[in-house]
Amino acid sequence: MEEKEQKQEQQSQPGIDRQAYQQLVKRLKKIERRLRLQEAIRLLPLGFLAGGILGLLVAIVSRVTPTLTAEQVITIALVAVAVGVLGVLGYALFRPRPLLDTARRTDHALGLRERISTAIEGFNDPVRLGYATLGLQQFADAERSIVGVRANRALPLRVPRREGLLAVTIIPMLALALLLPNPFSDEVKANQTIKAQIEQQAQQIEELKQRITKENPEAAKNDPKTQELLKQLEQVKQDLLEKSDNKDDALAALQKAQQELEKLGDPNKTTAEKAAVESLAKTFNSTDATKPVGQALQQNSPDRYANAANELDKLANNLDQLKNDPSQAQQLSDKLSKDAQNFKNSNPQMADKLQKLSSAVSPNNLKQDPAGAQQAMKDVAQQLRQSGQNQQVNDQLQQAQSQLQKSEESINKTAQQAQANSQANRNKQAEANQDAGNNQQGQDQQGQDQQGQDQQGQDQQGQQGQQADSSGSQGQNQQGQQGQNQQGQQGQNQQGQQGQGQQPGQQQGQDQGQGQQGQQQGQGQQPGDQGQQGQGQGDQGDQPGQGSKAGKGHSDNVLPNPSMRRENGTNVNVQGKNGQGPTNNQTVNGGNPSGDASVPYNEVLDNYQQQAAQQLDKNYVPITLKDMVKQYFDDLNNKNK
Amino acid sequence: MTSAPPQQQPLTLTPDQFREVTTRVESEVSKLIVGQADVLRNVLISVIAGGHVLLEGVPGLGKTALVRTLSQVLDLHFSRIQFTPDLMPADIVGTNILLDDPNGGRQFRFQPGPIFTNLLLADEINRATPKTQSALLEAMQEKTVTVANRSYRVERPFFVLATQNPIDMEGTYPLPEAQLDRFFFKLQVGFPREEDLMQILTRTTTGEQAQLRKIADGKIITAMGELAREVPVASHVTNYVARLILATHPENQEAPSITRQFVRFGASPRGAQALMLAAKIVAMMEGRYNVAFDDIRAVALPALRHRIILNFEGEAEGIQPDTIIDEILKSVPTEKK
Repeated sequence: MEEKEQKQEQQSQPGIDRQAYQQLVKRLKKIERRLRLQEAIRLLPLGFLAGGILGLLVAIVSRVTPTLTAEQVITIALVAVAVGVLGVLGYALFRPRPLLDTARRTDHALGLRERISTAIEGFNDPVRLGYATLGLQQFADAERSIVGVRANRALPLRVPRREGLLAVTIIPMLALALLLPNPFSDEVKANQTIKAQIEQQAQQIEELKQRITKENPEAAKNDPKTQELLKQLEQVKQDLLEKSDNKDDALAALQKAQQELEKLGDPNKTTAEKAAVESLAKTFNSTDATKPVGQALQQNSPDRYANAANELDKLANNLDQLKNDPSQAQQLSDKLSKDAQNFKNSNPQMADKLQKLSSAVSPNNLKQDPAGAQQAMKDVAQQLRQSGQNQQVNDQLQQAQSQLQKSEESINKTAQQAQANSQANRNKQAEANQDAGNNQQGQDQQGQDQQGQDQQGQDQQGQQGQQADSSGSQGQNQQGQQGQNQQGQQGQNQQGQQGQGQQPGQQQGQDQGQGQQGQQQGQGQQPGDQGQQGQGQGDQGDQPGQGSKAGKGHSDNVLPNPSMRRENGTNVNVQGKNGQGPTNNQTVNGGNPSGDASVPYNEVLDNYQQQAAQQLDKNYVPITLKDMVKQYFDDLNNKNK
Repeated sequence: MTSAPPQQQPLTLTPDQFREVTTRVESEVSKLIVGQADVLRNVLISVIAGGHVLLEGVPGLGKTALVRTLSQVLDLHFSRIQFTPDLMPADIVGTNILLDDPNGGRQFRFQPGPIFTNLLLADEINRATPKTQSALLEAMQEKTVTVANRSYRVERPFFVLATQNPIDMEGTYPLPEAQLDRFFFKLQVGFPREEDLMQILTRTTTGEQAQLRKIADGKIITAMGELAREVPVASHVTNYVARLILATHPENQEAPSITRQFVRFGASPRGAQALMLAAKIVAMMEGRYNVAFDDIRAVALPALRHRIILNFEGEAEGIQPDTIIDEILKSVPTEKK
């Protein structure tokens, strides 16, 4: 470094004092600061303008498409302006600038006719510049030219007029764009809430996945079923995260995952096996010698299979009690034989082992071949352990299914709430507009809207009735503005006679069968409880609705509680009024219009149970309600027996 | 015994002396030549740079008077050749003539032509044939004249100041590009303003005769030229000159559209040298020791206008090279992007 400086010193012909050079540089630095400040002031409006235009564009875009909330737009605009301003300030004040560049700018700004830049370059590179003969005079000339310069006067700080005016102009435009109400704001908020909910559900699925792995690490590594379960959970989690912007896609992903999980498990088989195990427990409870096994099997514990197997092993080692009581042994043998039949479909291996045990514990065999009985018991014990493991996997599968259903419900619920909030805000806005003198129409649409809601309730009744599938599905697909005539099993009769119009782009008849007309809406708030009459308020208004399009309302998969059955239905006739939109009437007949069943239930029970099971497999039904349906038929079966 | 001739010490000048000489020369010539200050200054720049000047103007504007006056003030030997169509090269460079020698024999002896002078005024140079015009080429560039396979050095300093009439072009032979490029400057002599014209009338139609003094001589002029070459030029100024020259070339991507549309050939490197050297002299004349962008701009027109060759479209449209140079000066930024 010193060598370089010495070399430079030697080259600095012809005898220019280094101190003089440093003095020149010092003056130059002072001018540079002023130049930077001048540039910053000059560029400031441009930075503001750039940020402002960006903010304005964002604000405009947010009014065209539902992408950002008002708060986000304001934040982005302010950040853009701040970045623009700070960017130009940083650029002007702090960007590195070579000394020679500063010298050139100084020459230009102060009209020094390249004196300073020539001097700086000549001092540092005298040979190339031919600084030998006239260098001293040139350097002195440069010094003279800069000595008298007063940077503050020579370089005034002025905001360029045109850019300044533009920057000032954009302020009110930006303020208007940011502060005027955004029609998409509520929708965006709703979307974001749904998105957050979807992401939350994805998180919960991840937690479930980790829990399954933690609880049963061996199965997670080796068991194909568990591995498939984990894979499906991971897949649905990824799908949810990727499709979090679209509720329908997320729900579709959840449903697809549920279908995949259903393939993994066989609910019928599992239920049958559970029932067979219960029966086996009773069998073991029936004799004193095997009672501990039965008690262990009846425990409400995840380890009950293992405990029962242990008890069975103990019994295998001590068969004296059974040997000494042939009648007990015979009874056990008989029941085990029946149990083996119970297991035949759900668990053939167990059936086989039980059949062998049944044979082995018969009094004759017990006496002749106690070792065989011992081995048969140990085999059953081993099979019980295996069943225990299978049961654990099935439990996990159920947990996963339950979680997915919960996720689906949560997302649906959040979406409903968000949309309802959005709707309420829009209604408020519409009311405000009406107060300002807009025409008010369509008060009586409320009654018609409620018809749509009431229809849902009726539909659910239909599910219980003889034509459960047809009425139920229609009810689910009903549009809020369509009147329908349905007769459920309980003999209820509803007539939604008039379809209602809806102005395009205004509202959709949503889950509760909302109907809107003009800027007003009627909302039927009644859920579809059975037996309740539709409480239409169609007469409140004087004018019919004037919508031009059919409503698009749809009912979510909200199922009624099938335990709330009514024995006698009453005819309910709900009439709306004709709107100007298209009318869609549909009549759905239930099984028995008179309300009296003429066929004994035990004759149709199997058929109904089968249909119910099919529907449970085909359609989305919450798991809690599935159990309830099964319980319902089990109860009927028990009565029948 | 003959002693070696004393070695001449080169004359050195200070920048102040340089400026003083130029100021006094301009002042002295202005005693006789009125209203042509710019032309006078540019001729002086060319002379200091050792270059030749092509003066273009209608007759009667004082071109010849200017050159003659300058030769007097600078104490330079002056010759004038009136170029006509029948002028022969030998009429310019000289010829060998056959003479009787004292021994009764005969021998050729070179009779130098008018080109052997310091300041040669080639009046209406475009009226001579190209062959005769080209007789000047060697002398202008190499400062030598070759006759019958023998070269003769012309006197130093040697300047050619040629004139041509922009009107009355019938029967003329426009100078070829190669010869045009050898002129340091091409100056357009304009018509004097009203007050200048009145002054000309006063000075030339009375018995009063201005007495001219000799301000400098050939050695001083040469020394001034050498001193001017020492003026330092910052690299970005040199770069500006290079970019200006490139901007005169239509094939250059950064050339302005007017160049690409109307120019056939741009300025040569010799044009760049002329531009730079002239700018250095301007800086010195203004008391500066470095070249500024303004100095370049000040001499761009005379240094480049005869070096830009228009294409057919440019000729047909009547585009003047000055217009193109003005446009180039506007479009080429001083700082490289």
